[in-house]
Parts: sequence; structure tokens; C-alpha cells
Amino acid sequence: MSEKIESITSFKSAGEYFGLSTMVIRHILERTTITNVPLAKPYYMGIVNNHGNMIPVIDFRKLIGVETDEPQPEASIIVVSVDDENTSLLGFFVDEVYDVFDANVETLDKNVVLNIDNSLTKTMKGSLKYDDKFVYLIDMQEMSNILEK
Amino acid sequence: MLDKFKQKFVEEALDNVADLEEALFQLEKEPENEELVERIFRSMHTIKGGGAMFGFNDLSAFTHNLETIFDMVRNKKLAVDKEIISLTFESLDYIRQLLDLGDLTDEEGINRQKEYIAKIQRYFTPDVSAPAASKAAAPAAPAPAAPAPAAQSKKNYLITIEPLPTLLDNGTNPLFILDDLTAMGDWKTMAFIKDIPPYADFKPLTLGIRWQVLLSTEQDVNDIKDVFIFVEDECKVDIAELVPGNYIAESPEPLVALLAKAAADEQYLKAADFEQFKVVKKTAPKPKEEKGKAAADAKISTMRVASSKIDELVNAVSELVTMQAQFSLLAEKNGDPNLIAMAEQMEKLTRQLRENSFEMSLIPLQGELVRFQRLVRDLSKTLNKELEFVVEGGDIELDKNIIEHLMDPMLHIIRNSADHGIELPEERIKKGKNPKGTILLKAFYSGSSVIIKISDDGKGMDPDKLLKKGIERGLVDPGVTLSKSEILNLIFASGFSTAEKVSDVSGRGVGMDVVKSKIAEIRGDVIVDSEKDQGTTLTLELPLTLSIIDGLLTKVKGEQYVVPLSNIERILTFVEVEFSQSGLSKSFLYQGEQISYIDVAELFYSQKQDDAKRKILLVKFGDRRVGLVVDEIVGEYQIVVKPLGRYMRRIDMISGASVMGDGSLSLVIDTNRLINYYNQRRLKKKESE
Repeated sequence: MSEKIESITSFKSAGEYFGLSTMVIRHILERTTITNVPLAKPYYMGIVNNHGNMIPVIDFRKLIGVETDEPQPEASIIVVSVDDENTSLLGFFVDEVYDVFDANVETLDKNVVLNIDNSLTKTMKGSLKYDDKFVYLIDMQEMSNILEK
Repeated sequence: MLDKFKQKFVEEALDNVADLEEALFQLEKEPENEELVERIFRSMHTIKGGGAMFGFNDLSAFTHNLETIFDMVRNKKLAVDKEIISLTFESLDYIRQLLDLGDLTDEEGINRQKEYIAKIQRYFTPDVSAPAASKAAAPAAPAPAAPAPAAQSKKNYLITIEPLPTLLDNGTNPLFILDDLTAMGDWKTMAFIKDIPPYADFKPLTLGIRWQVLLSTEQDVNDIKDVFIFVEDECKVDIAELVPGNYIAESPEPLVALLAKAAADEQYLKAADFEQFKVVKKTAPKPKEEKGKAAADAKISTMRVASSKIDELVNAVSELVTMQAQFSLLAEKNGDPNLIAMAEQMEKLTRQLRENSFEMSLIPLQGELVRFQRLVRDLSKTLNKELEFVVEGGDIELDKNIIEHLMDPMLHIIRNSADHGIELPEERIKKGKNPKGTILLKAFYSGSSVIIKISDDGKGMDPDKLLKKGIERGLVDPGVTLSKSEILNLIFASGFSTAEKVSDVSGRGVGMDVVKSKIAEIRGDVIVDSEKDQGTTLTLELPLTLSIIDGLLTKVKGEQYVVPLSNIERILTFVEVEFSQSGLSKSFLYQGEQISYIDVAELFYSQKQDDAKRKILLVKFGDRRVGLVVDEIVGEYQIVVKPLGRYMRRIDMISGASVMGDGSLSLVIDTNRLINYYNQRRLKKKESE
């Protein structure tokens, strides 16, 4: 069995757990004022200013097509970037940042069963079990390609 | 690591090529100017030297030949003529290619290189069959007889070094001293080893060697003494000046014999031993001499910095400016006089820093214009026209991002002028004009913008012809009367090209409409003016910088939006206008003009409002005016525009966002794109209905 250990940052959104490679994460911001951008896709909440960089923020719940009224007392914005360019910064508004842990990404369960929008299914590399929870691992590069369209 | 240096070399070499090009243009005008020849020679020399150092051997070999020509020109053995200049221009293109390719590997390339070199060598090899050489041969004197004024600056020294046996104790390596000495010029060294004891008594930590160094250098005695500065106490040094001459580098027979004898006898050489070389004739200057001189002249007055670093600096400073504004606000609220004083100090510093860093991102237009000079020169050949490109005000400075966006449009305009504007010489003579056509580029500041006027004295545009074409292309309804400027503005409509046939030079389908939209991208404007048989002038109006704009802060549904002040013609209240609903387009009547308008709240938030207190911004859209209805006007601000990044690129009617003094964000509206978007959406709606 091959092994590839990667650091994963997990977060919670709409009752599910998701994971991102810690390598793509640039900041984790507290909930702050988000300025609305008109005519953007509905899952965009708007932009925030972080050290002079304008970062578009996506409501992760809306992105995966789940809308609940569950309160988000621990909500944070996870800022990611697929490359090191300032223009590639993107924020995910999530219910809660859960944990950072190491996992073998070669042993993912590829049969992800998450009932979400089809175009986004591609962005899920698979799921792994952590702390008795299923964590769906996101391929950020793929996600970036889809969001940019 | 080496790649980094290599890249730097290529960058610098390209600068040198650009400089060469500029110098060549001047040389073409004043072929007698020795300073220019010197400048050209030096640039070539730098390229050659650097090329060899960074593994561009073919480049180095090629440039060497080119350099030889200018060395001859420099020494008055060859006169500058048109052919040499043309050949050099061609060679510069080739040098650019070589810089791009690196060393040649394919046969074809190597053969081409040989051809080029042969072409150049015709100028200085005494080959009678070559036609170019025969012309040049007249002023060219036989090489060896030429005087060499440069060699005089070199002096010869005999340096005797007698280190104490304890020199090695403090870790000094005497060989480094010798290295330092021999790096100063041409040299010969001799070691005297008589004092080294036989092997049985040999102590590795005791030094038994003495040296004598013959050095031919441009540097003076003090420079030589400096080499010994750290071993003054452990070393006895004697420096004697010898008779001048080039014998050290050339090592003629008597010198070799002298050295051999001294080594065999373990006898020091004396200054007197060298008297015999006094009569030796000086020969041609060594390129080495040139190198030393250039190094001595070089003062670091400019620095090469990666443009990304400047961008970062400018970004950080913009951020500082907004932070500082927030700080000042806070200090004022707090009321502590110490804090307020500090905030004021900081404001001053920040302003200075901002000015400096923005200045840094400006580059002079001149440097970028050389390529147009070149273009016009080449075009005059291909088009068989006599063309002159004149630049006025090339020293004005522009934001590098603006210059980048400006190059293609300017190229297009200049091509158009050369191809379609300026007539053939015969035609010009018939019209009583100077057979030589002029393209004038004039740049100057005007308020907070930069104006670049490109004009030619060609045949100008015929409004009747333009109108006819406009009707043919379906851009104008027949029967409509248009003013002259309206007709001229037709050239900016897409799908309008007046060239009768597509030529190689211009008219490849991209027309003035592309120029217009490119300039609009950097918030600039293009204005055309033309007089039949007098010429055409295109005026580019550009902002000084892209990152800071003067904007009008407005509010729509409680959100802040900034509209660039340069786009706004007037602010109207609802009382001043008379609304009318004609078909689908919403419009109002203002001063007898029917103006269509966009309700921003409706477009952005799909919400209709009937508030008569709202305001209308009258904005420019091409040569028309369009109204934008906003809820409220807050005031005028100078703002720093930040892009929204790649994920928001689709929303192009928002050109960016800006941090306001209180930390809130406002969005900057690109009015042209907003109006385009609105029109397209309306068309789509119409189709679906």
C-alpha cells in the first residue's frame, strides 16, 4: 500500500465535514464585514479586504446547494490560493474550522456519496474517516478551475 | 543560480541593444560624431564580454566581428556610411535572436551565422572582390602603422616581494596577494626558492619563497601598495617603475631570456635591466584597456529592480495610506494631543513615501519609442516612402502598466500613418509638399492626464469617402446628416477599415476599434482629427496612473460605488430633466437632447425605486452621453483601486474595489463596460420576448 501523508485542514459546513490540503490555505479570518458585489453568482457573498487584497468570499453552504438556517456562531473564512498570486485568493465562508491533521491521501475512499451539484462532484477527491467522521477531501485546483468559469 | 545571472545578462544585453539602436539612429544623422561611435563600440564590447562569460559563445563571436568594424571607425580607418548602419541594424536583430536562442546547435543556424559574419568581415578584410570593402578601403590605412594612444596610460612595474618566514603564521596565503596583483593587468612572476631548506630541515609553516612580479597596469602605485595593506608588517615590498612599453604582455625574446637568466642565477631583476625595452614600438590598443576604463567610469546611479518588487512596494504603500487615514481618524476621535501630533507626522511621511514609490513605477516614454523609430525606418524601405519619425516630449514619464497597454495601439496608429497617411514621394512633390513625410509624436502633461498626439502630414481622410464606406458597411443610415467629427469617428466603429486592399503593413482586420477599446481599458480616450491633404492627428488622452483615481463616491441601496470623475460630465437632479418612455429604451430629455439612462439600483439589485431625490450622473460613452441613476452622492475622493482577482473577472463592469477611510469597501464602476453590459442584456431580453 503506497503512502502519501498530507496535512489536512477540515471544516464543517451544513452538517458535513470537508477537508482541504493545508498547503493551499493562506489565512483563516474571523467573520468580518463582507461587501456585496452585484451581478456575481449567488454563492458569492461579496469581498473582504485583507492587507489590501480584495478576496472574494463564497458561502460554502450555498456552493454545495444546501441551505439551512442553522446558526453559525463559530463561522470563519478560510482563505485559499492555488498559486502564490494575490489575484488567486479566495475565501470560503464555513460554519466552523474543525481540525488540522495528517492523513494518508493514497487510501481515500473514492466512492464519495455526497448529494451535491454534479459539477462539484469532480472536485471531491474522495473521503476519509477522521475522528469518527467522514471528511470529504476537496481538490482545490479542480475547484478553482470550475469557479473561474 | 547561474540561470539567474544568465537572465540578468540577457536583460542587460537587450538594454544595450536598445541603446545601440538609439545611438545608431543618431549616428545616421551625424556620422562624424565620435562620441556616438564610442558609445556604440562600448555597448558592443559589453555584449561581447558578457556573452562569452555567460556561455553565449556564438553571440560573442558574432559581436566581436561587428565590434571590429566600429573599432576601425573609431580609429578613423573606416567611414560611417549608410551601408554600415543598415548592416548594423540587421545585426542587432540577429543579436536579439541569439540572445533568445543561446548557442546555435543546428546546422542551418551555424551556416547563417557564418554568412552574417562573412558579410561583416567584408568591411575589414582586404578582399578586393568584395564591393563593400573597396569603398571602405580608401580611408582605411594599413592596420599595424596606426598609433595607439591608449597604451600610454599603462605603466610597467617591477615588484619585489620579500615576505618574512613567519607570514604564514596568521593564516595569510601569499598566493592571494599574487592573484590580486596579476588581476591588475599583464604580468610575469618569478619565484626565488633559494631559501627553502633541504627536505630534512623543511618546516611547512615557514615560508622560504620570495617573488618578483612584472606588472603592466593602468592602475597607479598606490593601487599596488593597497594590495599589501594587510601584510605591511610581515612583508618587505619594493615597487620600481620600469620603462613604458608593451613588452610584458608580448614577452619578446630578450625578456624571456632575461627572466630565464634571473631564475637560473636566483638573482633579482633590477629596473635597469629593462632599459633595453625602451625603444620598443607601441602596438595597437588592447581591448583589455577598454574594459578597465569602462569599469572605472561606472558609477552606480541606477539600479535594476524586478518590476514585481516595485508592484509589491506600491501595493504595500497604498495599504499604508489607507491604514494611516484610519489611524488619523482614530487619533482625532481619541483627542489625545500626543496621538494627534504623531498621526500628523505619520501622514507627512506616508505622503512622501507614496509620492516616491509611485514615481518609481513610472518609466520614461522615450525608451519605448526607439522601436517605433526602427519601425518607421523599416517601413520607409518596404513602402518606398521617405519617412521621418520625430518625437517631442519623449522624456515624460508614465506608469509602466499604461505604457505596456499603449504599445500596440501606438504601433497600429504609426503603421496606419506610414501606410495610408503619407503619400509616395512623387505624389507629395505634385502636391507641393516636402517629398519626405513626417510622423510627429508629441507627448505632454495636461492636468492629471498625459496627452500623446501622433500626427502625420499625409493625405488626411476624406469625409465623403468615409461616409460612403460607412453607409456601405451598414454603420450609417443613408440620408442621415452627420457632422465632420461624427464621420471621422466612424473609423472607431468595428468592421470599418478604409484600406482599399489588405497590405502587409496595416489592415490585417484589426482596426481603429481595437485601438479605441485598448485605450479605454486603461481609462484613456482617443480623438481623431483630419484635414484632407494636410494630415491626420490622433490624440490619446491617458491617466497618469492606473492605481489611483479621482472618483465620485455614490450610494446605491446603501452600498458604496465609485464612478471615475474623468467619465462624468455633469450631475443632474430629477427636476432638471423630463422623463419619457420611448419604446424599450428609457430616456429623458435634457437641454433638448434625448439621453438614455440606466437605473443602477434596478440593474444591480432588480429593485425599482421612485425617489425623486435621486441623482443622475451624465457619463461619456464614446461620443454619446448616458445617464446613470444613483441614490445618493457622497463626495469626491482620491482612491486606490484594487483588482478583485481572477474569480471575479467575469464581473467586468466593476473594475475593482477601494478601501475607504473608515475601513469600509467601495466598488469602482467601469462605466463603459456597465453600459455595454446593460445594452447587451437589453438586446437579449428583446430577443427572448
